[in-house]
Amino acid sequence: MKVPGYMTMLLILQTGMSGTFAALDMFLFFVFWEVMLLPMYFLIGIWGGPRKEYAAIKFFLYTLGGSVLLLLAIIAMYYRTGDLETLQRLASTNHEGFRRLVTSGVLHRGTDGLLWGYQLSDGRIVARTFNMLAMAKLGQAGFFDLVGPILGGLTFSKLIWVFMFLAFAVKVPMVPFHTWLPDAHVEAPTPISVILAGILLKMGIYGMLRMNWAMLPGATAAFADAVSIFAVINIVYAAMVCLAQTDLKKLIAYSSVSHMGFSLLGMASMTEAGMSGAVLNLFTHGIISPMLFLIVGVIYDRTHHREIAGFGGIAKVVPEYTALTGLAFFASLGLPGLAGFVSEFLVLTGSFATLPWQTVISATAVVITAAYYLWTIQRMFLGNLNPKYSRLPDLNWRERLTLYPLGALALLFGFYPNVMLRLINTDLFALLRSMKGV
Amino acid sequence: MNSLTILNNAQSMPYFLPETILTVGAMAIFVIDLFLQSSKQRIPIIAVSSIAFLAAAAIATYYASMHPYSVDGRWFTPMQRPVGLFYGLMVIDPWAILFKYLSWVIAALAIWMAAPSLEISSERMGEYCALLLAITVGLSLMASSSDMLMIVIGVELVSLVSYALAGFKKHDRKSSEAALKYVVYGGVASGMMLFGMSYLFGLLGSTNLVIAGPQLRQYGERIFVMGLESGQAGAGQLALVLSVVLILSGVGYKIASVPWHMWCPDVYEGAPTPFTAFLSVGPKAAGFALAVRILYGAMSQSGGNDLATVVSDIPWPVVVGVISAATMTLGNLAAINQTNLKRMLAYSSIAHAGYLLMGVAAASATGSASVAIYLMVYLFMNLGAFLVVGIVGRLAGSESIFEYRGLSSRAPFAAVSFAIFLFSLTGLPPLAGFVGKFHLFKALIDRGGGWQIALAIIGVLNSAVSLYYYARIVRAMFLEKPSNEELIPVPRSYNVLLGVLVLGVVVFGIYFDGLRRIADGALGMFGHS
Repeated sequence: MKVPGYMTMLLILQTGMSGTFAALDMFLFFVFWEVMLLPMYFLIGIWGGPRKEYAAIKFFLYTLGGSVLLLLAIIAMYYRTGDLETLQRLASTNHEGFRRLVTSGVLHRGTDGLLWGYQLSDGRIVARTFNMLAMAKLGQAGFFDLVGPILGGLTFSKLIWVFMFLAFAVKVPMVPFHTWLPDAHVEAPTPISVILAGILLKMGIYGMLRMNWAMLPGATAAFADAVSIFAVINIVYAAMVCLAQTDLKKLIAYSSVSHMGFSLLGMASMTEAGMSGAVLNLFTHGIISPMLFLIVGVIYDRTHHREIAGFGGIAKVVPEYTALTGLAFFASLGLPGLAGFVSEFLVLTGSFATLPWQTVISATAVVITAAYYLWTIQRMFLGNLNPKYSRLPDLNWRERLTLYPLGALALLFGFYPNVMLRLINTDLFALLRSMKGV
Repeated sequence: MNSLTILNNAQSMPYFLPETILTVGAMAIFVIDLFLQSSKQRIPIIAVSSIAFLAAAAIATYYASMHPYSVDGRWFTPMQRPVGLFYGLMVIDPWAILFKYLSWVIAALAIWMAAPSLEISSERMGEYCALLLAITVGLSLMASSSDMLMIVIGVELVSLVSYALAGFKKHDRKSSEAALKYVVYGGVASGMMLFGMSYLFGLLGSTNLVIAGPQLRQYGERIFVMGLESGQAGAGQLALVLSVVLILSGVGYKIASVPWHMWCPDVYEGAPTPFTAFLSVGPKAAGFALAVRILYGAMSQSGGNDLATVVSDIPWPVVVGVISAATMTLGNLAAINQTNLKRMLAYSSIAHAGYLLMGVAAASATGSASVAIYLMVYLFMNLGAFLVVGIVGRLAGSESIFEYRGLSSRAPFAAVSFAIFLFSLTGLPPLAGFVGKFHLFKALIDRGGGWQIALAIIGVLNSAVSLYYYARIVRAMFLEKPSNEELIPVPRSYNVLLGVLVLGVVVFGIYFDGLRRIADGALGMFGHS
């Protein structure tokens, strides 16, 4: 039950995560999305800290509650794609992406010149499709906006947008759906916190980009302001909560919430710089926050507590650890030359063009972030040495092997983010152009 | 439905072979039992011979489904064209055949579960198996009856024998209480159903649903004309709606839907576990077969595509929709606080009846097919869940959730299987329960009106709620320390059965195209689909 069980769960989790990012079929996407839940539940629930049961079930219920709505949205989209009459009507408007869908044969045109359905890779013609790429093309041509109001005054595309957004907002996590995250992070064992912060949170933004933004651009434009306000709350509120934390791991968990807010803000801005900053932020946060969680793990292994106030002056005893912690903290607070700065800067630059007030308020969070990190460094590493920790051992080789590569990456992407940006921008800008109907 | 061919009694016998075999089998088991009074192998011999009778019935079902009959010199099998037996009392069509096979499988699994159970002693095994075979005949009659008299006979056969089996543990107070409650509720429900049928008979002059269907279709116009003449259109319509609601209450009692669910937790708790497992799947499946046959088969007509329209403005889809929402919400909320696993699973099975009703409420071919798909996967996961309850209860003698603490170290295979069954009941992919739920939601959204979407939203939120109490069991099994470390002995036949059920849940979760095709094929009978 111990090590083999742990590894089994970790591999199933890995399957779910890779599958979610690789799936181009909505049904498959949903299956993988849910496959992640089970192993995560057991990993937190069995190998977690003192309140593990509570944290595990909270994580499970929040995510499932969101994703069941996603399921409905997926089914509804699937049935919409079968509306060949509307498609026929759309065919006459000659939208470019739509035309490409027809010329590439995905949307099959019969010999009578009418649209017949969707062609699968094996040549069969089906009436409806789960294909995400085809749906994105249809959505960008305005297909999903073409149906009337259906529930509570919301049009079809807006209703579906809300359903999908809720599912992903839980994962991001967006305030007020964030409360599972501090619990899950704090109770999970270090490696699982690393996976949670490094990969799982990114699925939220990834899903939004893949589905909400790409498939329902009309609704996205309508909701962009609302999203930006939630993003500002995320950034500022979570940063303030960080100031009040006494537990190091909880502080880092909330700082994740704050940083994911920047991604939301960038997405809401709908500008090139903002969106590429948002996606780059997923990557840089994916380097920095695992590093931070590993750092917490290192000190917890030695002292069995995480109270910030319980340390003091340990820089003298563990200089190497202090240096790496400093690097991670500064990367996270956005010091120029380190990875976090580039993505935050891009997001703020981009969003200032379309959302000036939201940007101004969010920028204040940069100061708060600096405050809580510097204050933490001061309390933990500087000042008088707590005599309890006068014989604290410094990093061992296993820890060095995990921390140095991440630190190096944080430095590399701080100076040369172009490696990643080039990868991001090609597709992202194309998406943005077709979203705006250019 | 003019395609239905009516056969006379002599011609019908080959098609009635499965039920004949089981009726003979039930009597034969009593006789066999007499010769085994002092045998040490009494339980295995009885169990194996009962399952052999069921296997024979399955073969006979295949024979019946392939047995040709002639119409105007051309030959058909019931799979190609439905056929009415005994001058139209019963009908054999793919839908009936599917539910007959399901009944045989469920009964065989319930007998398999009973064999190593300590709740059923060796002296009474013969009794148990014979009664179970009798119920199975009733299930089969329910699935294929097309006449209201036959429906009553089928429902009563299942009910009467169930009363006896629910009170099977004679000296157990809870068991006796269960039987008594079951009798009282069952009596009221079938009384209401009969009353409703009498109205329908009065309105249409026939007890036959196959004849009633087309008549109901014309009835709307008749009421309209009568209303023009007498100015009293409301009375006829009211009688029609009332009779439908009353007939629904008989069916609703069998499938344990709100507000006819009250017997369910007490009976499930008091009855011997193998029979509880049977009760939670068998009568429910037959009840849904019947509900679809009455509502979708007789009270709707083709709307041009695979969506049906109701006849005579009987608003049954919305009535079923409301019952469905109430059933799943009540079932799930009541299950949260249960500490007795049998009661918790009883409420969970009420909730599942609610999910299944979503498929009926969709009033479409997709909806009816999704009901069949869900029942096929529900069989595996629910029988599995009760099997584990039986395994733990066998040693501990109690179904309290505290007995499950640390089960992962005391009976690892049972605990892992239980977790799989529970997550499947929640509807998590890639397990079979997800496939079932997906098809139910799909049917509702395909239908696409305002209340259908609202019902689908209630449905998905309910599955999130259900996770909470299912996960409580998982938490007890995996996250909590056992009160004693002693291993729980699991008989080998139980392990094999667990393996079979787990395999079903996992395989159908990944490969479900076959299920979908079977369910779609089973709908051929309804003339309008």
